[in-house]
Amino acid sequence: MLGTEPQIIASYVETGRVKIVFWPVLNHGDPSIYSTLTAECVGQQGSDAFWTVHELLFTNQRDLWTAGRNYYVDTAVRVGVDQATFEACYDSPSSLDAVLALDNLRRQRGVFNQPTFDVNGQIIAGLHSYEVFADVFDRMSVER
Amino acid sequence: MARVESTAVSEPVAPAATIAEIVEPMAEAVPAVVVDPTKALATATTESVNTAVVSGRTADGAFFLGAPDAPITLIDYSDFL
Repeated sequence: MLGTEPQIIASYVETGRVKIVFWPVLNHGDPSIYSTLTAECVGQQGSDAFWTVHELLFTNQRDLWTAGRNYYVDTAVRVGVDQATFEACYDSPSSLDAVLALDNLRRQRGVFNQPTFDVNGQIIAGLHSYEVFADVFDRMSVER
Repeated sequence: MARVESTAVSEPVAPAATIAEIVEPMAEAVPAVVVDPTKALATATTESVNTAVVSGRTADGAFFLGAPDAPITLIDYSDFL
């Protein structure tokens, strides 16, 4: 999604036509869990900060396979959130539960692979170009 | 300028059976996203100053970006890896 997201945001989100919801799919064990936990705990200090760290984590995704607590604390500090608050969240079982609850809910929805996109109920599986999403959005806009 | 944060709103939940019919359960699929890590901070900074875009959390706790009442909702089921 990262590659197409800036174009979608510029053309559809900023114009009020589309809302993007990020839903975690934790298919890669601890690296998935702790990168998503980091996004959750940054986001608890502001949803704007969530989207900043969301992009940063995707951009540095090759680091995440071996990343540990210190890496994620540094990442959180880098996007400007309070370190002590972040660490308290990161170490809290309730934060981990929140992340796992979202992952469980997507399984209940029948989503098992990532990326999977749900556009008003229309499922698009796998990575696609900006044009594919734009075509779906435009067709839905005409149909409304 | 920072985005405007919004309170939680309900998200439409697609029927599980409908999605399950379309998306075949598989073990794992890794998104083939390749980016330049040296551009990470600059990119994130650009993202953080994006203007006039509302962000918040859904009733389920997922983060959203865009007008809460936008006619189209794109749910991105994804992993950072």
